[in-house]
Amino acid sequence: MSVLGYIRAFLGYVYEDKLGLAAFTVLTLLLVFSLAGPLVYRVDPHAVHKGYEVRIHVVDPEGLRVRGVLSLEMEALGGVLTPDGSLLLLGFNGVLYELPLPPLARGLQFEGEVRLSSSSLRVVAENVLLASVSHGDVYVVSMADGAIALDRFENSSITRLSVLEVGDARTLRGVVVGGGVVVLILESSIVLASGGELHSFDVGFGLSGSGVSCWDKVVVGGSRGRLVVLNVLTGEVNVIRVFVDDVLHVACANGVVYVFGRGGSMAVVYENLSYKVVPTGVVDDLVVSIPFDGGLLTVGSMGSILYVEGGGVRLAGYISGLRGVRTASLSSGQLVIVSFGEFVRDLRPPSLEHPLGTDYYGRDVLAQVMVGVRMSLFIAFVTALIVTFIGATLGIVAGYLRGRVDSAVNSLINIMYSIPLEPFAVLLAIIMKPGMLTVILAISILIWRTTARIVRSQVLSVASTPMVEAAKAIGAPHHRIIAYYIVPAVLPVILVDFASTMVYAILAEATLSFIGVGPQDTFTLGTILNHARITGAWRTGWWLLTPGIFIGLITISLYILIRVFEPIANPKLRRT
Amino acid sequence: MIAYVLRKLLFIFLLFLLILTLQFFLFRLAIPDPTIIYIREGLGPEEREIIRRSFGLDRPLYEQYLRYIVNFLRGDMGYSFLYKEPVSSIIIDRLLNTLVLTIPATLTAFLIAFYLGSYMAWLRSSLFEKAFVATLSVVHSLPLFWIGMIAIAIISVHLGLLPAGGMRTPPYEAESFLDKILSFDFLKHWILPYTVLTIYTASYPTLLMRGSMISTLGEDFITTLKAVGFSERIVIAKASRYSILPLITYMGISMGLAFSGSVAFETVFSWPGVGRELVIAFYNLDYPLAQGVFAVMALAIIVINTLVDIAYSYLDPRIRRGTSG
Amino acid sequence: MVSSLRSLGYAISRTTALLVVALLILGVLVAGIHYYIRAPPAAPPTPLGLPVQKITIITTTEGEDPVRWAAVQAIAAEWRKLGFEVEVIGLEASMVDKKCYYEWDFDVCVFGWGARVDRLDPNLFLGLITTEEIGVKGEGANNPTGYSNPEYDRLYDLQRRTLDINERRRIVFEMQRIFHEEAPRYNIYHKHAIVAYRSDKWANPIIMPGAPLFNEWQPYFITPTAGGMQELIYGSNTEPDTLHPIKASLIFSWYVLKLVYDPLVRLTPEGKPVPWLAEEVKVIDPTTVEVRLRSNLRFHDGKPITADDVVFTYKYYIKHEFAYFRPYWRNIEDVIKVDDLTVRFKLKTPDATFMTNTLYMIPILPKHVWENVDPKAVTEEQLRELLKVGSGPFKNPVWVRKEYIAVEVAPEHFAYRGVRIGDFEVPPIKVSRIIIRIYGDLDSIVSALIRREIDATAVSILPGHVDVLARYDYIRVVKARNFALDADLMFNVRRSPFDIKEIRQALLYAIPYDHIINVILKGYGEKGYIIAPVNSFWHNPDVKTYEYNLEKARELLAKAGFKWDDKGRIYYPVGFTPRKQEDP
Repeated sequence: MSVLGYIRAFLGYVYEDKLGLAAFTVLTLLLVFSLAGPLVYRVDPHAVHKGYEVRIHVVDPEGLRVRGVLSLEMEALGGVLTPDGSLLLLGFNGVLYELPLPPLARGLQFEGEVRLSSSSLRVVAENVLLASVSHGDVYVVSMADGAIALDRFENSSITRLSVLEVGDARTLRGVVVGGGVVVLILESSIVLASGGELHSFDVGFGLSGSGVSCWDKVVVGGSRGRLVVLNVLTGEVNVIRVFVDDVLHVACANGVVYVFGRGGSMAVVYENLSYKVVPTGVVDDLVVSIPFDGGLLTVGSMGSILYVEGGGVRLAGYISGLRGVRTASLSSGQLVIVSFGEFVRDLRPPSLEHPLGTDYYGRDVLAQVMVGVRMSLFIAFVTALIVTFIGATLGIVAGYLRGRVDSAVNSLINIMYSIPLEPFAVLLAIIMKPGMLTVILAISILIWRTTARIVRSQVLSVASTPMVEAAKAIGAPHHRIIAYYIVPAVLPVILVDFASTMVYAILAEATLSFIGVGPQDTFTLGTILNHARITGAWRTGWWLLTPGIFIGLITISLYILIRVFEPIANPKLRRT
Repeated sequence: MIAYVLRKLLFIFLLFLLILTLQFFLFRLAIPDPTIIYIREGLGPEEREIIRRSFGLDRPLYEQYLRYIVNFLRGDMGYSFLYKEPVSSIIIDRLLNTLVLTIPATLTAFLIAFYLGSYMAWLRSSLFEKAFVATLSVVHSLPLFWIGMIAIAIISVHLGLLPAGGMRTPPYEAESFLDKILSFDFLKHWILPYTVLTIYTASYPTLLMRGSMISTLGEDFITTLKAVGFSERIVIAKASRYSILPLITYMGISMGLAFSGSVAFETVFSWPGVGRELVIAFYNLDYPLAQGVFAVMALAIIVINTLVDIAYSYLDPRIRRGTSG
Repeated sequence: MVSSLRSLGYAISRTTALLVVALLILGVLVAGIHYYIRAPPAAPPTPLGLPVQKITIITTTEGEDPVRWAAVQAIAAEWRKLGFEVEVIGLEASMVDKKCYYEWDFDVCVFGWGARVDRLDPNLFLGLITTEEIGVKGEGANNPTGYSNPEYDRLYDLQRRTLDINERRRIVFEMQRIFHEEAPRYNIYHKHAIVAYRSDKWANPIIMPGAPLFNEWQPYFITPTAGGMQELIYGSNTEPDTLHPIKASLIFSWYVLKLVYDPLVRLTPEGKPVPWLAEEVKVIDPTTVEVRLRSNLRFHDGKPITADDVVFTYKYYIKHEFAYFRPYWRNIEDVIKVDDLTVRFKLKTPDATFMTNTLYMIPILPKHVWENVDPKAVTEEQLRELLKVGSGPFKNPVWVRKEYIAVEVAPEHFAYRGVRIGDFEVPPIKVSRIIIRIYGDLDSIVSALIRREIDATAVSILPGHVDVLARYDYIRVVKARNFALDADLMFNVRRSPFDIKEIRQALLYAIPYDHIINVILKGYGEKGYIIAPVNSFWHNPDVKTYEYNLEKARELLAKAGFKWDDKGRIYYPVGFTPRKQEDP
């Protein structure tokens, strides 16, 4: 018979058994899925999926419960909330958009699944450098003929206030308007515009772009805890350092200046420029403060909410799920928090874009599973090859030669049985390094014991058949007898055992990867599960447990195939 | 017969000595200096030298080896580098923790396997049997730790029925191991890992027993028995007695594995067992402890293998003849 | 049937053999063709020096620290953009130490240094690049980079001897400047510690940098919501090595032992030393320190704590060469009893860390209990008896290995009802018993907290757990800044190109700090320093930091004469002979 004939015979056996056919189909599909899948589904399993987004959370300021979330897929450089409840967003292209927020329905929920699209944006102005709020008024700064134009935004339209000739407008970071003066904050200098005159002050360090006018001074935040205090009357400039973290914003309330920075830093500055550091107990970057209830309500970049009152601070709580908060405001009793920027699409449930969702780092799980199925099958196959080779050789030799060789092999098998797999693999990983080779070696060094045992017992029964005895009697050399009588007789058993070893290897690989011995730079079904657990992500993302189902699919298909072929390998089991 | 037993014992002893020697040198070749772990604690070379000296690691290797073997044969497995306590007391404690879980689970599993397997072979090709085979195959095809994780997520965390891990609710006072496990609190902690482990352990031997039983039922003598008119019950009983051999072999292996525990499983259930301890010993380069655990496991396997041999020869007269002649 | 099976067997074995041979031939052919095609390297159009050899980054495995692993992968990806060939090797922790600290066999090595309250003193971290700490190959001292700078060494020595704290601070600032500028090693980020506790049972925990919830002050500050005294149950995935005070050699063991035994001085939550068993610590001259004890001190068995016990304890540790404490006692010349409550320490050299390290770390043992004990021959049962007589705020430690540790409050302790030390107010203890439950891993601790099996986590949990725990209204998650060196990146300056300062700086400019902090750490972290910003007294705010800036990195490389071929691969300057590590 030709090779094709054997394949036909194999398929014939499979076809006889409906379950076997199903299992064979599943295995074939999985193979096709893992090999051809990446050609169709071209997603890099290592790629971190990110995207620009604007997210608006509406929060009840008392209970800190999120009442509604809106999201909008667009890039934004900056944004402010206007007192009349719309959002001004500054795009990368210098276009300022106005986004009227949809009204809250009964029960203070947004109506249905409101997904805003870019079409709900209204262009307000172009060439805009920044938008900012000072004392409840919204100011828009834009480029006009190489100079800076300051506009006020009111009722969806802008009114020009003044045009200022400033050196390098592109480094503009912020603007403070109040007390009859305008202060422009540039990268490392500030420009005071009062009465048509410009005074520039170079401070020599980075400025954060936030400032506030309080008393008769303008206080501007800078890097590494520094404040620039500019007396608008005398033009006197003082620099003080209140803490060591970058200042993110400053606010004026109750006659003192509150300074907020990265890592939850906060300080209070008094009019005589004495200051005191206030521990906040939070670690987020404190990005914005809103006047609230006689004090301030301060929002951190990751959702901490602080109440600031009379020089003290109280942690109101955290709003979970917030990232990259940029601005916030209170309108009609609701706290509106706006976050924007480039967000990682992490732990997304299955969707059209990511059919199996994304993992903790925002990587596509389906792409990982494709690689994982391939790697797991590969590891299992190679392991089974090695195991079968060692096990079959030793089993045949021991079973055929018997006597001392047999008992030596037998004690070796017994020693191997006394070594538990997982600790052995850990030891190998310590000596070598965790990786595919370690997994393959750990399993194959130990698991040949089972194969050897099975093959040996089969050889024992074959070796005592009259045919072999006869061959021995006429003095046929051992290698001939083994090659012509023993090997063909035990080959079916070996093949079935090969499949069982693959099953074992797939489960063992998953377990070893789960305890951290598996490959680190690629994916196997076990490492995906390991990731899900060591990052704590499996509790949020049930889809991260799907590799377990793939493991089950592979192993169960193999089992069924084994069951189909077992009667052939061992005719005693054949159905009668 | 006595000569046979003596020879077997001598063989066991020599095998054990070989294992001890092998692992002694393997560990020392693989792991050079166990005080590496103290770098992170801010200890300099001189401090670590003091520690090495206190462990006797400054002595020549052959002296360490002889001392180790002699002490081991006297029942002293040395001091754990990490715990600074005698290895034997640590191993006994952790091994009992493992065994209290694995031995009942294995025994129950094989009891289930024996009866359920025979029964299923009898009900062959019925819908019920097919469904059962499918379920068991599914259970056996999934990783044990994964089943454990899901069981904890559903039963402990979501439904809040049973503790999520550990052996007892602290603080508790226990005079002895028996004192520790004879309590309702222990039972509450024990039942979930026990159930998961039992179901998992039972899945394969049940299928094995079923297969073996089917083949026995195809044998001529069963047909004869049936033809002669023995009742169904007696036929099953006879057939299962003859089909038990593969189960016994497999049980020997499972009992051996019961002594090593499962690292992933013990981690998921926070069970203070011997498998996890061995892994911790490796990570902390604590080789007296690792050697001790390995030695105990090896001894357990060797003893169980011998017992299985004896059981085999009892159940299958052919083998008895084979050994004596 | 049997014979047909046999023939099937034959055929399969024959076909398999044929297939294997065919595959082998095919493989050799493919490999040969591949090699032939790739073999002749294209001659570089512009004169280039030698190609820069492959950079191997050794770090810990993903299982040990998933964040560090992911961060190193991200760094490798950026360095590849600069034209370097980079390989990352993840090894088990002890093997990383072996390769990097013992064998010096690395290009770049990334590991870390944990936070311990006494490490708020800058001495240990700043010592990481001194010449003395290079030590000898094979012995594993703290500076495997091989970087040596006499000026830095001089300042290091000087700061240690400078007792005036402001003067010392000035020196420490200058050292940080050199550290960051020269950059033989650089800490990439500080992770924020994330811990959680049951807010239905407890309120007002004190958060310390490095030990947010599980710290020695917690029993004084945390308050039961129901009033009275309550049991405080922590969950942990690590446990002590031993509680034997002359053998315990892990940070965790000393967290527990510090509850049972009091030192002469404790560090406030801000890291400031305050006299504790001591009433007063006086510096008489730079090498003499006098300690006067409080007069109302009692051990747990009722016997008074006197100068004899202090002298005994220090001499006992020195006599038995307790290695873990050697850095603290090795500078002690002598300990002398002046009167019943006064002890005088004679030091070998002036030591600015004596208060914050030595007096803080070494606990006071009862002389009458330990006097005739040979610490090496203590059995478990004896140890249990010995531990019954402690000097600390908690007593009677019970420990079931891998399960739990419990200590109960000692009402006879001097600070039981609170105490005032200078302007540091210690409230009364409100914890009747502290229990630490041991779990298999972090995930199990989270499950236990949700199930209210524990009150608080003793160790830091993961960013991924924050949103999970936020669903339960009886759990509050606390985040705290940290000063641990979580990703301590070392360059081996014995090897080119890391011997060139500009190259080290260029490589540091090519680290994606924002990506690491925002994506990998999910925002629960901040840019790294050698002395962290949270250690605000010692942190130099004007120190140079590196921003992610590939342009700047390329510029620095080009300025050093490095060139790129048309494939973007980087080459040494023409005529430059790369330095190879020579073995001493």
